Amino acid sequence: MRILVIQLARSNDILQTLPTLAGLKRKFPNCHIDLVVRETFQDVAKLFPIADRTISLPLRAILKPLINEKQKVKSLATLITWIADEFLEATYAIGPYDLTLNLTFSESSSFLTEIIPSKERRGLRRAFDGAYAINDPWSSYTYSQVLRHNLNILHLNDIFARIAGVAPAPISPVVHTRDPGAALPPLTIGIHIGASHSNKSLNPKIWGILSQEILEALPDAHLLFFGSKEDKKRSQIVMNAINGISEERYTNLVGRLKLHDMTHWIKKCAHVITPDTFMNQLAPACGVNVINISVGDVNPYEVGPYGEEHFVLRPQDTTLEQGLRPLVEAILSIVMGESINSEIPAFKTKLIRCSDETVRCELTPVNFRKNDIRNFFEQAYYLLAEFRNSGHFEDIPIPKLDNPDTTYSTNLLIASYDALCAVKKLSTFGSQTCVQMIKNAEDTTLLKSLGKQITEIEGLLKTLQTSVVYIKPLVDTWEVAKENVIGDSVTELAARTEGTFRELTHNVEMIQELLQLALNKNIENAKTKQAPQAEEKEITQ
Amino acid sequence: MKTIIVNGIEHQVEHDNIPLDSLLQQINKDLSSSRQVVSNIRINGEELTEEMQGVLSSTDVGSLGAIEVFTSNPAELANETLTTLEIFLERLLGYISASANAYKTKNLIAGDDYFLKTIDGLDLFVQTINGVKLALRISLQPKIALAEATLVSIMGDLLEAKKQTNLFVIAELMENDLTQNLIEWRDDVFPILKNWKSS
Repeated sequence: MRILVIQLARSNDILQTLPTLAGLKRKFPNCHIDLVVRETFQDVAKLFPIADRTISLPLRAILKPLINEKQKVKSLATLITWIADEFLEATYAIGPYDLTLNLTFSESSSFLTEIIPSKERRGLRRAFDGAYAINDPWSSYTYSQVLRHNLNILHLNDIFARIAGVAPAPISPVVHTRDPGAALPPLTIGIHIGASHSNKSLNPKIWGILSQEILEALPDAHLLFFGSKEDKKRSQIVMNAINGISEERYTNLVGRLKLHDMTHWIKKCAHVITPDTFMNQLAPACGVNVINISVGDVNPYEVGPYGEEHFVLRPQDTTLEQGLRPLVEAILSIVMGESINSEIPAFKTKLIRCSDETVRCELTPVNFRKNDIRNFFEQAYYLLAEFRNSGHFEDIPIPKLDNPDTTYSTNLLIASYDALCAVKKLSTFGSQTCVQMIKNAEDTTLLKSLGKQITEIEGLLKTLQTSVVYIKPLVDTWEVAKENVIGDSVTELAARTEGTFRELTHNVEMIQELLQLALNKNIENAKTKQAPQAEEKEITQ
Repeated sequence: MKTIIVNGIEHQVEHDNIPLDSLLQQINKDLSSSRQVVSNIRINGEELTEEMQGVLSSTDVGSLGAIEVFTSNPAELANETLTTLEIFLERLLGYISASANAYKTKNLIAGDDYFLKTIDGLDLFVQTINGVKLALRISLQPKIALAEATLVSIMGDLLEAKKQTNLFVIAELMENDLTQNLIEWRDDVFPILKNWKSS
């Protein structure tokens, strides 16, 4: 079996793809996997040689004529030559790939997916009319829930593996350089100061103060600072901010290590503290615990550390030095193996076995309780996703929905419920309108009028989508499904559109059923609480 | 006296005032010793359908025109049925594939339509197989029993998935399990049934 995996995003995305490759190898031991990555990030794939062949896309060479010399033809020729050399020659000799998995979800990757001959394609691709197309359910989920920033709680490692139809398997690096052999104390803590964007990391001065606090609190600790070449200047600010601590207690490796060498140093750490999604994946692969400081517009459920017993800290205020004390306390508690009493929301990772023998990485709150309503909808949409996209019912407890503690919460719950009812009515109406279109496919005047009705329904659904946050995932799912409706005739188009409306109705019904179950549980719990209180009252009287 | 033709040979019926039904019963009785059954009846050259047989059952044979009766060995009948069933199976596999594709592309109307055709077709398939087994006097054959048990299990799962509107499972079951099972019937079980008559 020949499988092509396309991952043209950044290094952390490649790392998040590799457990899927390992899963494919486990399920199909004799399969041949080709992995396409950008030339800039090919070292990541080479560090984990799971693919039988890694193909580098020479993006700079392709784009350079275009950007510098405005030579579009030359740019195109380079791209076409690359595709012909790497893929077409082989596929004409051996035959098309059995399966192509595009795990990039970008426009450019979708064209590549379509050009390379393959019997089956999953992920973002192109339809015959050039519009984007998604045929498989988990890719559709990724597009509607992950890319549209909805209430997704599935890790990308798990989502990619589900697209491939496998369970993610552990990965570990194969290093071709020698261990530097530096003797470091057992309590060596790595600190990765960089991230893909500055707003996803802490201010370097704050890193410095944080590091000083850790070194003062832990006399036996040694710090290793990691980062890319681009972080070198930032690292100087960090070093300058560390006052009164012997330089023997920390080592600045920022911008000095190639990837293979970095893994040797990471393996010497007891913990790695990082905001960076790449290090979130690399450190666990090296067998090291991660303390992820998740800041900025990042969803730690999707790109946080993967595996058991890693931690995610979500500080609300990362700019003021006064706000650092709770963060330092949380980090020290984790390093010392103590319970986290800090006010910083902390999560712990856990691998859960699912009902179909696959796994998922769950983030569990450690020192706080999630908002009940948000928690309910996150769990409900996860259950719905497993049902729709894999066909099975996950056995997880119905999320608690205790009495909302604020007027805002109550109003939000009521608004969400009303919106669910409205969506159901609209989707039922949409379904009926489509049926009318099918029955009157020859009547162009009536078709026009029915088409207008559909447009109005879509408009109303979009209004609900933007006005009630907990309804957005449902409407986004429907919208992506509808955008992917293709057909050769009005009848076929109307029939498939009807299917999207009907599926939306079923989805709403499932969420409503779950909501009813959660509320019933709340009523039962309330009755149980009242009963002992009533007994107490009697005794007192 | 009434002359009837049985397998091209003339036979005389003593009384021509007996009803058609009684004549056919008598013929079947006479044939049972030679393991033959009536396979076709023509009256005035036209094939007698089940409906017409019901209408004419109490009509005196004397008032009917030329009566021709054809008989067959049950094994031969079963073999003919299996040949027809093979053709029917191809059509059924077409419905199954169409239904699975329709559900996967969200054309639920077409999906439901083909799904109903599939269920009706499977019902007919099962009934026909039971008839063939009866004609061939097959009681227990492991491969046939396994194919039957698998088919029953798949149909149960399909109906459960339909109740839950579990489109993913419906499409999977139809595309993979059910298709595989019916191909097994065609490729493995039908040859067993066809060869049964000569064993």
